[in-house]
Amino acid sequence: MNRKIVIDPITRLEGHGKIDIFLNNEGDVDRAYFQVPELRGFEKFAQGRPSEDMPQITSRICGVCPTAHHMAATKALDDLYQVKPPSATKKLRELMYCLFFIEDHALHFYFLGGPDFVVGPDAPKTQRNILGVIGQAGLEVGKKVIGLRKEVRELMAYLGGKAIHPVMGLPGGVSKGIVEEDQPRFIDAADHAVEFSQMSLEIFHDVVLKNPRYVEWVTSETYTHKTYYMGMVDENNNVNFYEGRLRIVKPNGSEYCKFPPEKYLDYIAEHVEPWSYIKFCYLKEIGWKGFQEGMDSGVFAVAPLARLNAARGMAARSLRKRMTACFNSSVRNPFITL
Amino acid sequence: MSETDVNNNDLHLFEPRIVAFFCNWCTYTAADLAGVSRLRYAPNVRVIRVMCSGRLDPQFVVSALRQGADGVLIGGCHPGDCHYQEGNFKALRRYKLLKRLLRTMGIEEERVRLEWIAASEGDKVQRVMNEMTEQIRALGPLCLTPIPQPDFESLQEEVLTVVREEGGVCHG
Amino acid sequence: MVNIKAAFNWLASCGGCEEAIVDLHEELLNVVEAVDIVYWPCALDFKKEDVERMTDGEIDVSFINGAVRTSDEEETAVLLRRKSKYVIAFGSCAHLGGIPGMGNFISAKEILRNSYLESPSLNQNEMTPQVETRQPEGIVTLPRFCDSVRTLDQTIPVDYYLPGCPPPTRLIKEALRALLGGELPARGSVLAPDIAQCHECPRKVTKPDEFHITEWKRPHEAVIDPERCILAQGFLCLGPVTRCGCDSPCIKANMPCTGCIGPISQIKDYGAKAVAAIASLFDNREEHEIEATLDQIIDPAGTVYRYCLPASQLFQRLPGENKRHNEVCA
Repeated sequence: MNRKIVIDPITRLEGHGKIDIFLNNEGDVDRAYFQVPELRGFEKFAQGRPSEDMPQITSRICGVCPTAHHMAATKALDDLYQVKPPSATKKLRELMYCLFFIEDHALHFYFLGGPDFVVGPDAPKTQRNILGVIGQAGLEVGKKVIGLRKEVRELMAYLGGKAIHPVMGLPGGVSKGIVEEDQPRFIDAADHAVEFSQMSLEIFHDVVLKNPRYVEWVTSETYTHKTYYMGMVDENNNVNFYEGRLRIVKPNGSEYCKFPPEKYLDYIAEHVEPWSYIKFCYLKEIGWKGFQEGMDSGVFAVAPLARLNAARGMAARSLRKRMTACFNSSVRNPFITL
Repeated sequence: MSETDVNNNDLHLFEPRIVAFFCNWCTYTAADLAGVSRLRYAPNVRVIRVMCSGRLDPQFVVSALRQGADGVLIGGCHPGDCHYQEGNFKALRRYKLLKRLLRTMGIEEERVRLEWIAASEGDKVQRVMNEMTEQIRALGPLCLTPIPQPDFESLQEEVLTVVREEGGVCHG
Repeated sequence: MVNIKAAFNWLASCGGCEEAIVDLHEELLNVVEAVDIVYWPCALDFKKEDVERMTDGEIDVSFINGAVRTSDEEETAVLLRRKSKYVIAFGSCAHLGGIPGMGNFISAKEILRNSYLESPSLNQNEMTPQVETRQPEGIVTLPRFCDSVRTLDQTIPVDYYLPGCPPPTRLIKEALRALLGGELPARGSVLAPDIAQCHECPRKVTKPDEFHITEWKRPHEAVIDPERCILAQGFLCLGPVTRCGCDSPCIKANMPCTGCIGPISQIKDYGAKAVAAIASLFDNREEHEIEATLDQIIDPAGTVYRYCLPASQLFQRLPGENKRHNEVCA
């Protein structure tokens, strides 16, 4: 007798989703469907709106990463108006983006994904959250997480007006700069962020890498995908968050292609399934071969792991050694996004 | 009311409902004159007197359309003749901008109309009212999408009972 | 401190309202001491079935953000209403429809067609998502994409509104204080000051008594003077028709107010009132001059109804070219 288990809704992820798991007669998983049950229609209702509204309209696609959408839309405006932003603008935008990804990744690490490892998947659901993490890792750690995010968010509001749904982006510019007296705040925040990252890395070592059960899990076939990976890189193929070219590497790590973002439609297409409102991106040249991994499938990954895989390393020299040490064996594992 | 079901056979029975905002000094006086002169005009227009066309808040227009009007007519003094000097110019600017908004919302041009009608132009009142009535008759009723209402009166009652019995959210 | 049960849930939302709660920072720790959060998909692992198992009215207050765009969102709103003593519409989308409310400028069909059949990123696709799909393993279902976007109070009775996109920290803190202290105002209130942005604007001393705008400029067409009233400089700032309570972060970032926090209580249709305000600010008298000035405002409907189209009197665009003599109006 076929059975179905439904997980509704998915939790500790940004966005709506449900998972339908179909079991076979033996009670094993036959197939699982991750469905996105929502659609709002940005692609259509943005049409007819003034172009300069795009940074603020598209940011509402996501309130956890509004800065990403805002910045992408702002860069699209540069392209539309054929203007090259002056260097101060580029630095301000890059600064905003760096502030953003620091607190965004911290949010994921501690609030969203972290609980799965810190309290563990066997913990009762009442504990699988940030409060459970604070319970395990200690109130001091909790306060540091909150403190770092607060410091960074305030600086994002300084530059962008609001940390959630910034307003700064303009074609060829930004609406606001930094006055000299406020510079030290940004420098201090950067130092704190580096310290914080090191602390987080140590927590990861102590909680995950020292736990044989987690390591076995994290390096297992079940949680390993060998797909193509895409990320933005600078001219040295190091990770850059603000500008550069998009580099795609093959499952074996060698370069597949590298292109300027505005050419994305030449490389990427979207596939539709009738059971989800979300569309599935794939590599056009290889084609949609279904939900498969490997060289012959057009499926590719993005986000932190993919970014690291698609790049040679990080631009900051001090970080390259640490990165190599940390990700020696399991670079292709999505759990390493933590 | 504006969400009337109309099918092919009933369309000839459709009587447009038009709301008119006439300024006291010019257009309303002209409408009076039309009446006194026994000029025959369509009975489809409900007139609301305002002291000046500049009083016309664009919210009046959208509210009228929402509450069942198939069209809205605005009448004011000719430019330069406003009893309050500037009012009709303000009305004209508001009208022009409102029309652009209505266009985006798919509302046909003929449904909202501004006319300058002097106190002596009773015949113009007659002509405009008749013309507008026929234009809107041809367009058909304005069927705005009904504004959804939560259909949970019993649910609301349930909730209120709980709130009343337990004294609200905070107990002390 | 009173211990009350609360839920946070998102409908057609972006997650910014959840982030606004997280952005209470250390105050969040105080909140979780006083409040037992029984459902919060963004941050906690409770599932829908946990809510379904609760008794009616068991949740003291549900903060619901997001507009209502799918049948599932409608059902979730109804479920939470049933299980809650109080429901607070949290954020612009729940309050007024929000940015997703601009979906009401077009039809549901057009949105589906564009996303799944016409978008340039597609590679010859011919299908749209279906409410029911028969897969080899069984039937997989999706909620229905509704014909229009609705606000929360067009779906369920709502007790209070916390406006903003997202609600500013200051208003969230005040609301929580009022809630925990039992000092909520009359049911149906918007939990924000009932006076226009200009009242609290940091540039209000530079606001002229009379406006004589000669040219409307888009924010990138000239450098916005960071000291002077933005509206007076000829940039469309919707401050005069918008509530205050957010401490004007957009103005402080040198960009005009776009009206996310919604209208003051006397306004019935925000867009129409904005039209009234804008038209009062420039002086042209000749028709052709007025048209020329208005041509500088390139998308008036999108500008004034950006966050509040579903809450407006007009609600949704008419079917347009389909309005024929023999068309049935339903």
